[in-house]
Amino acid sequence: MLRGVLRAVDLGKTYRAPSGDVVALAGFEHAFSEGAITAVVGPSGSGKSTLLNLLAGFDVPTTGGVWLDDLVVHQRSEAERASVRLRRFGFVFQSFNLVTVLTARQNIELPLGLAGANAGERRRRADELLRRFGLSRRADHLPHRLSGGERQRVALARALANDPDVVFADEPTGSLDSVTGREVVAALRDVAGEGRTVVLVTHDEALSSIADVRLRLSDGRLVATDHVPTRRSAGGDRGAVREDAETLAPAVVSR
Amino acid sequence: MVPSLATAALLRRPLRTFLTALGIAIAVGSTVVFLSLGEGLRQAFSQELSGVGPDLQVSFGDLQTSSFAEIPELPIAYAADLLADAERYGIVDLIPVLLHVRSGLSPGTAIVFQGLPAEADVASIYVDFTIAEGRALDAGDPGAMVAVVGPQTAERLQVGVGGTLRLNPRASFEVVGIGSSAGGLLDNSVLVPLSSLQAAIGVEDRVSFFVVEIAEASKANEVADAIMADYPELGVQTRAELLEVIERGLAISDVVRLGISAIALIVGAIAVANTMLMSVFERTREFGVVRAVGARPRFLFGLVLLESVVLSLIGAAVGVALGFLGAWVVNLVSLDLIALEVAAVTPRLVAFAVAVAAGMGLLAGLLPAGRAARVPIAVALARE
Repeated sequence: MLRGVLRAVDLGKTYRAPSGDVVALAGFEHAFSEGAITAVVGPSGSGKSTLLNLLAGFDVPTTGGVWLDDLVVHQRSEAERASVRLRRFGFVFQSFNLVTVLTARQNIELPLGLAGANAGERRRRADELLRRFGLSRRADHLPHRLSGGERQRVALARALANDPDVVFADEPTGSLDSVTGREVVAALRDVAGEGRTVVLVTHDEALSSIADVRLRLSDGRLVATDHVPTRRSAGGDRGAVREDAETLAPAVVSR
Repeated sequence: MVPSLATAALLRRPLRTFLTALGIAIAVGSTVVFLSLGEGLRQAFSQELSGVGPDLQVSFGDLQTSSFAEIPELPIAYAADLLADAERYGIVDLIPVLLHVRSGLSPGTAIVFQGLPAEADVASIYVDFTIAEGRALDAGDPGAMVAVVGPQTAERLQVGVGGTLRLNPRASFEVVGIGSSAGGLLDNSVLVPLSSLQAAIGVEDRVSFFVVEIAEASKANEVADAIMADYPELGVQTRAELLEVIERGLAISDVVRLGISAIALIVGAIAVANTMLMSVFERTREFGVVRAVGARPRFLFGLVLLESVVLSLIGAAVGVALGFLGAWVVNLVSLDLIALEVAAVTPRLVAFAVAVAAGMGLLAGLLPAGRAARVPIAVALARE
């Protein structure tokens, strides 16, 4: 089942500074594939974080815009962008970014509560996600009592709570060892296999190779788009994903 | 979810939360004690005045200066003059009252004597007053050195029926009855026959004031005007005017005391605002995460405001308890000094204190809540 299409058209962000304008991103154009992982790669300062902030509606562009199907995300008010994030986007961050004072279950229930789900619905959905990510026995633990891998799985579960169309993963394995990192990669493949768009932001070339599409940024510009045509067929197959992650097949440069 | 977030926020720095709540508690507590003084006096006066049967009080000149004058100024002859025209004025009853304060070495040993015609029905002036022990004054008492003592005076002076109260070297009264507590000033008075008190202090033809009951209470103002037209030297005050004068005085003192309390409350509010600002600053990243997953700015605004109000209300709850304690201490002292409970923590005072604390929490929370709502997500998430 395919979901929404996330598109960026002539997307750009220029920051005003006393020493002159700083162009963080310029002329970025791409339609993100549904049911696939698109990796955004590039060195520090290449504009990856700026792109993520603009796509996710954390920030507003100075040029161009972001569309989710026909929804003009960048022209929405802050509250409306919050609503888009709540119902159609999910987020996984490098440093997990769980709310430290809430238990694993409460973290997963947070977006459900914000979306107005009642206690029963929240509990049912949280149970489902806790089971899916093997966290049922850790449900009532605070984040500091969970391992890094468990925290990232809680973050994944939270990202999926409201059944989003797009999941943004910002260096999701950056704080994990290689084994738990592979588990998270496998989980992201599953997420893409459900028809969701996964936007993976990383500077890790090895991690980016698990993507179906790879966008390379440099100095705030998109300099290459790599497609890996065989990748989509692997979606939803946890074993296949593991293999992908481990073999780290080289991508095909198309541009 | 929201309660979890708010509770966790307050418990994140327990000592800071405790100290802030303590600051509010002291501010609210001092406000309660300050305002309880007015409430206590208001209660004492309203109980006293509700016990005043007559509709008018007639004094010589201005009531406020004459009632408690050292030497009574109202010639008793006016009683006969007024009663002669009773029908025209609509007077039903007129009772002369002589007030005399026997000062003591300390305020605690002072005694307020009230001379009333022995045959007068005390209950027509003080409807709540009943005899707990012994007997009331009666028609056989004129000229007799007998007294009925208010309960607080009896307790303070440690006298019972059969005991003696000394007014001056020439006059002592035998206690024949103890009144039962009706609250108010009468509890602190000693009722004696008018003629006996007049003789004891040597003012045979003068009293402090007359209390007058009229046929139609609603015509109190007309009757007062009529008497003052006939006797310009007399001051006539209706009960409503009397209440108004007292209420105005209490209202002025309320404002003064509230003004003093406001300083404590403002300091408390600043403490809350400071605590909340620190809390918002420390939780910038958390707020960024909550915003990132889809919370609207107003969710965080409401969350911080809720925390601020909850913090203030916790302080207020402790403050009200402190206020009760403070008022109790004040009354302990005032009972000892002037035999009157001057402080009263009434439900409306508690409601006022809680409302003020809630309002203070709301106001103090506005700035931090605004900050929380405006946290830029990208900046907050990048923060370590």
